[in-house]
Amino acid sequence: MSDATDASSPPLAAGAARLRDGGGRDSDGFIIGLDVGSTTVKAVVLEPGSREILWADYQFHETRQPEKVLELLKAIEGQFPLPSNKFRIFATGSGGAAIAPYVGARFVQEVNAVSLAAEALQPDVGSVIELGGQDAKIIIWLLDPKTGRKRKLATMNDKCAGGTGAVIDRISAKLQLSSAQLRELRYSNARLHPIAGKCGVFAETDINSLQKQGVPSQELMVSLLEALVQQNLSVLTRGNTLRPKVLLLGGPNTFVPCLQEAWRQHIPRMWQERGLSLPEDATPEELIVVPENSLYYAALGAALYGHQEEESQAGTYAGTAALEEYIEVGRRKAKETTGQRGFFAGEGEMAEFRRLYATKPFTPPTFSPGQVVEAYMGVDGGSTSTKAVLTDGEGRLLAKAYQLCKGNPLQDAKEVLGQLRQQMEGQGARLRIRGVSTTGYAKDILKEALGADVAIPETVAHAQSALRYYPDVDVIADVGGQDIKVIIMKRGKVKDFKLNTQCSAGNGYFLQSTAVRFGYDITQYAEAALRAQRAPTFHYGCAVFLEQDISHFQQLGWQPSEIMAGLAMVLPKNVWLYVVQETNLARFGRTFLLQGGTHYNQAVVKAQCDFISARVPQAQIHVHPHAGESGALGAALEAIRVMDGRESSFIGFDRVERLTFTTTRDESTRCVFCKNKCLRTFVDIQTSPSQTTRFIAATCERGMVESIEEVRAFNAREAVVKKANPNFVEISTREAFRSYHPPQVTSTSDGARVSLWRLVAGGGAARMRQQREGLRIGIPRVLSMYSYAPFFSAYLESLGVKPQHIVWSDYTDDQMYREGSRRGSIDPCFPTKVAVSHVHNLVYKKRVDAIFFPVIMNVPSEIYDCQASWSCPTVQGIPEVVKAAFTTERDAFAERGISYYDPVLHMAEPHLFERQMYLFFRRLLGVSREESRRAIEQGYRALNTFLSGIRRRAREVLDQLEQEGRVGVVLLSRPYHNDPGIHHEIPAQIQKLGYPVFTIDSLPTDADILDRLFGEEIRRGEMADPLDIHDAWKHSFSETTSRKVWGAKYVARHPNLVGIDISSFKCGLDSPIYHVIEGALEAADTPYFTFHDLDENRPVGSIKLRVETIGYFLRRHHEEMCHRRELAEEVEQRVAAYRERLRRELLPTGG
Amino acid sequence: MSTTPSTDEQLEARVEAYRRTLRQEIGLEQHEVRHFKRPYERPFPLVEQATTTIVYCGLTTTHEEITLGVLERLGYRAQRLPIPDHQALAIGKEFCNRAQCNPTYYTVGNLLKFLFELRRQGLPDEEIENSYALFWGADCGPCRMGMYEADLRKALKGAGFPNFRIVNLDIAHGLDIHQESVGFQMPPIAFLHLAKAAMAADAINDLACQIRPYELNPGETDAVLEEARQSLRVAIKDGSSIVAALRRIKKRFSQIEVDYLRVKPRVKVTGEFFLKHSEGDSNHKLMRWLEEEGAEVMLDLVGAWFEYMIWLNELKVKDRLWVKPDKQGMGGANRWLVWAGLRLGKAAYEALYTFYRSLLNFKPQALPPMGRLDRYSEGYYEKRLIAGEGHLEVTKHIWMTLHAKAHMMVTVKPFGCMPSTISDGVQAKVVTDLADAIFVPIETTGDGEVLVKSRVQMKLQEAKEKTREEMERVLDGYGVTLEEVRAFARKHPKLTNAMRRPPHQPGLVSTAANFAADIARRMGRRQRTIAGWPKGRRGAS
Repeated sequence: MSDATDASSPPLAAGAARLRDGGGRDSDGFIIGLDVGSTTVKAVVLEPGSREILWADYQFHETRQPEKVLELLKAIEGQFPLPSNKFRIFATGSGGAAIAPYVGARFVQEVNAVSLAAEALQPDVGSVIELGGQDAKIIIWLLDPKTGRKRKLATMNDKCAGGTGAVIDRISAKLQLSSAQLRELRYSNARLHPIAGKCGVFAETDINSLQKQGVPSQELMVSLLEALVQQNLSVLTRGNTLRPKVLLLGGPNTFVPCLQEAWRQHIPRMWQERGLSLPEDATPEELIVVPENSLYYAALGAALYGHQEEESQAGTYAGTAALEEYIEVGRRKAKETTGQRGFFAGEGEMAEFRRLYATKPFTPPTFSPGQVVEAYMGVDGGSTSTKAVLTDGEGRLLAKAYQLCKGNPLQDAKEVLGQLRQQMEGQGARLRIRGVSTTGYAKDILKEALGADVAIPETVAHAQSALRYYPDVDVIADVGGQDIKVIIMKRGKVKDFKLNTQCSAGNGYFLQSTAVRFGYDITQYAEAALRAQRAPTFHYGCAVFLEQDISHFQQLGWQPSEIMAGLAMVLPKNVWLYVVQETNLARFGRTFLLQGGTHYNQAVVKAQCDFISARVPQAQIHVHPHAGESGALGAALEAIRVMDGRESSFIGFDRVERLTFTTTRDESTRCVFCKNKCLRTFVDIQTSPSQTTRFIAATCERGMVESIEEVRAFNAREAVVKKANPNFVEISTREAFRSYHPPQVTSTSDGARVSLWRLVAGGGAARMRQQREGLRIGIPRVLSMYSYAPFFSAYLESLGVKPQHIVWSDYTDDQMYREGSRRGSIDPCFPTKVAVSHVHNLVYKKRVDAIFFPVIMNVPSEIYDCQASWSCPTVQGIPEVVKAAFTTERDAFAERGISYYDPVLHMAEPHLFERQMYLFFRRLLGVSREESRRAIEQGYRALNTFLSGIRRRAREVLDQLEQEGRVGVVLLSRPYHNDPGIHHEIPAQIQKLGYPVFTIDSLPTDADILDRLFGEEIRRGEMADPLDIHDAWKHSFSETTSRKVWGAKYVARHPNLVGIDISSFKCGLDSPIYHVIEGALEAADTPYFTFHDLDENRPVGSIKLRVETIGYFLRRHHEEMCHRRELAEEVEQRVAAYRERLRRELLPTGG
Repeated sequence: MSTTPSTDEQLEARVEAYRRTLRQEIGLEQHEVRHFKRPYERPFPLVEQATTTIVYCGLTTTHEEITLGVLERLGYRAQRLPIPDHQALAIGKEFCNRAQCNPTYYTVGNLLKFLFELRRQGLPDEEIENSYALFWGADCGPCRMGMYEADLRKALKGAGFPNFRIVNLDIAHGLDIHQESVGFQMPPIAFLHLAKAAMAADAINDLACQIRPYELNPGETDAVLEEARQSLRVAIKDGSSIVAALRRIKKRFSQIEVDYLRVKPRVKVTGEFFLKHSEGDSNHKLMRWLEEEGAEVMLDLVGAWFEYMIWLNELKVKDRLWVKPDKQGMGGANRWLVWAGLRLGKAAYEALYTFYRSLLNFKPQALPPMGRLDRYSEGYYEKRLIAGEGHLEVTKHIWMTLHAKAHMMVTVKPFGCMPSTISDGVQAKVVTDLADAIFVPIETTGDGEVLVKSRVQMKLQEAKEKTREEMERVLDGYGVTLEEVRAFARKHPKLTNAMRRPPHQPGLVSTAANFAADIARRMGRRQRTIAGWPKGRRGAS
């Protein structure tokens, strides 16, 4: 923790003081406990007999672990002038094992060390939560009722450093919170915002978005701490309850009181919920403590281990000679055997590179005093920097300004516009702004504040800017602070684009923050990295793993400049392999353009050139002459295009300079226009004494207005759009969970027999029917239920269960997820993970007698001749995980009188399924075989009604699209993506753009339309059936995967449909078909977009950018379609005229 | 009937030609859309057999080496690929789809790494494609393993080897090769050879794991293991007696000098199939590292998984014996016949492996009793959940703990492995319910080695403490000292023979404790009743 640097080290213990004062005892030796962590090194010296701490210190190693260890050991040697064999040394921590051999230490694993210390120093300890730099540990001592002994459950984070101190450090640096500010944060009075806690990168994405809405840094930091606590409680405890007394250890827990408060908020809540009995003499909060020496527990534990160690020679201190030798020589040798060569073999190569790619300074045109300059302005409010440019009417650059974000986009914009003005008016010229366009994350608020004429998505701005300089460009790689955008061009038009989803692996900000951490300014990055002779080889991908690699390389002695070189080298891999997912770059073309602020970094440019050239030997690689301002430049070009002689609405530089604003985000700004009741940010912008504009940053468009009248008007407008463009995600969701009112099939209603044994045991048919009527069955509204709910509800209803007694859990929302997620013990994909919360919802919020959550092994398939139609393994197994989650430690179902059932069902095998249903429901409802069979028939009937109804409506919409030459969007997703908590409202946003949204299941399968789409290929023998996917996908054993492939084939063949591939993070069955979906749509030149890696957090900014970009390209696609339609009509008119002329020539009228 | 086109037809033909011209001029005439097709699968005709080398990887060195003998016996040129390493992972990540699990990356990357090396040596791509073919195993359960082939083909295409041949062995359904792909044939006898190879490899691998931690001369076990591999490979290749080979192997292993009084915890390694058997970077060389850390590793047998497959199919048939056939499931097969066949096959499989064990003093571990194992996971994990290792991880955990078979269990799984993640969710409850369990699940991506190893060390320390306590209980219980036991054993060299299997005492796990208890009894000591002495089945709730 960086804030700890200014915290004073604990005072030396009395024993040490005595030694120092010359009153030292005649000791037989001491034990050194050394904790080599990912950010700090701590050491303690113990007196073995009394176990008294004689000396203790910690140091931030700032990447120099061996050096800091040496420093501390030298200090110990100085403090205790004894021969080295009088010391025994025990090392722990993530770097402990590597250092131990050089100083003769024995390594002690850190959890064992911490638990040893906790048991020794706090005998009544029940749990330990230790957050380190990159690891998190939870230890729980459980009393075994049989033996009366305590046993230990210990968990550590896996390879991911998600919920640890590294994330706190990184975000506090981003939020520019000082150590003192971090310490002053208080949990109790802070407003909390939803932030992903599981992943530092996701958290950063959320924070970026909220920051742009004007949420104060302090609130964001508290929200992050809240998220980390939630994450650790939900996953790291692995479903176990922390036992009091809870010790909070490690840097973050010690130095951030707010984090302590967050633990004290949540742990007692968990205790209460799980009915844990607590000691009566203390409040729950008093049972969660930060003990004295909380930083040193691991080091102390290591030393105590030494104290217990029977081998007297174990860990005999060997002095520092070997460590010094390692630092001087050994480390370099070890390093030389790994890693890769630096960027250049020699100075010549470097000079040649600089000649080709050195950034040419911009020489702005000069103006004479008094000259009136007519200009267009583009402003790019990016995630990490704000840029602005002025161009003339021909798009020639007149002036530009660039500034790293200082926290608020309005303030930043004021400053960059001031710079622009200064550049022009400094020469005595007068500016006349003809048009202003904004782009970037903050484009909307900037448009509102500056009175800009237009706001465009940054993807569009970057494409326009690139085309200005390189009209024949094939690929534009724009790497900004947060976003990576790659735009594929074809004949001067955008063909496709790729954006990083919420994961900003390897972006510019990561490089920047790493450089700063190493003590470099970002402008010094390139020079340092380019001169590195060697560089470590990073694994590309997630930034959290890159972070871990950095720590690892530091341990191996790689220098900051070498690490920076390695990071620059891995960036192209993140761009091309991780985001774009294309190994064959030559497929895109030969001309590559690098732009975006990150390409100001020459080391990155060099790495990009090396990477691209290795794959496309003939590549021409250019760097945009204004790489950092390319977005702003594109915006200015857009302003030129749209203004077309109109007067600009720009408020003028004077008013910009006087612009003041206040940001309000509290209860008074809470939106009341829907049940979500989201917090909004009101930005009141005053540009003149008489004029105040209010900009409302909200999570949806409805929240961007203030009065109920405005909402009504908005709703009316929206209703028109929605009516014209039905959203089948919404329709399917609504239809799936309604009653289909099946006829009763019970024995008394139609004579079917009830089972004999049930009659005997249960006292007759009438009583049984009564039981069924009274039984309230809860079913989690998750996963396959989005397809098969009509079946199960109709089955139960036809057997006499009242429709109102079939209780579905609520739709997924953030609050519901968080309430239940603490029961979770694993971290699979969100759609399955959320099942725990749904069952929690049924147990604690609904009144049910039984919960029915079947293990659905396979489902009926419409796909032709598929190998199988399995459900996904996670979907299959999650009912078992849920059962475990609610019965670990105590049986939460039994406590509330609920029975939990998760029978195995093979829906794809009708006879087996019938038997399984009968055997299960005979037990639960006393059904007879015949009753069950008839109920199944009713179930299928309802399912058929549900599906055919939706498809019929979809057919009408599709026909209309064809007639009107419009475009519809098909979500290539799984049924559970219909869940509003999982799809994050993406379908509704697409619908609001004016496009009907189809699901795969809603695609009409009428014979005529299938023949139109697939008939030719069937007749050519390329396919056997319209629902055959073998031509595109061989492994047709996962039903939803097969359906996605078929959906993509359908879209590819229909001229009025485009596809959006939606997939959840960690979906193991989607990843193998990414290239199939893409291939199917690309082959047909059908626009194709993706929302991959959707997770529990809702990255509003990223979704918005993507939706806006999709909207832009869909408009272009539609325009193209209309144009072609007009051309086709024109052709037909000319053909008709030609036919008439020909007829006259060939068939002269008689007479 | 006149064949001359009518005037109307002439007119329409000219109109159509005019329309085409116009559309072309105006840019409306599009090229014909060629819809996406899955990658071309080049056949492997018989004529290419003699010039093609079959390459393969993905199992232990021993299994791969002995399998080489099977392929050679069948007349193929065959070659093992190197053990997948970090470089293979990097290549795999580059050429496969994003977000795959690491067995895909490692195995696909490993093949590409091999092909790139051939390319680097100057072999033209076409010649590489003509000279090599991959022997690849897959399964079409619900997990993505069955889809690996798609990534493999995508990667091969991306790397410039679109015509590389793949011989796909679908584990559940036999060879999945193109009709024309007769260049690779697997007659029924080949499957018997493969089964024998797997069993023999299991047996000697397990022997080595039991002996290596106790060898007095470092490296000796590995040398004997290598000899054993070659001996078995040659026996299978030449069709000579495997029995004789195993007898020779037993003799060689028995010559290794060991000290079975080294107190080492027994650590069971299980988990996802590829990772638990891998000996490379994919699991951070887990087994060797555990041995270096002072543990005796208890392997999962490759053959146990085949047995699980048979058992699973038997269960599948059993579930369907009394219902009418469905298209999915059993189809039109005679269920009773299949059931009987599977039971017979399982019995034969177990009998053959037991016979091999008998040739090695019954020292290699037995196949897990699949028929009884499922009851341990009952109530925890549905045995019909078939993806990945199914209920086995959970059931083995309980079985190992209740029957004192290992001090600790490590399950190793790739990041994002769907079935393993699910069984982990259940393990959280199992750990809470079992008082005596030391269980550590580890997830690997190829990086983060320090943290992964740290988590294992955390539990290993507990296991070591438990092992030490166990040994102390034995010495106290029999009233002997370690020195007395050692001295007695030294006087009776037969007792210290590496191939000797000290009888397993109820409740004792470690080799040292069982060995010491056995010696103590031979010394005439009687076990005293002392507090805390294990009583066999322990700790279950």
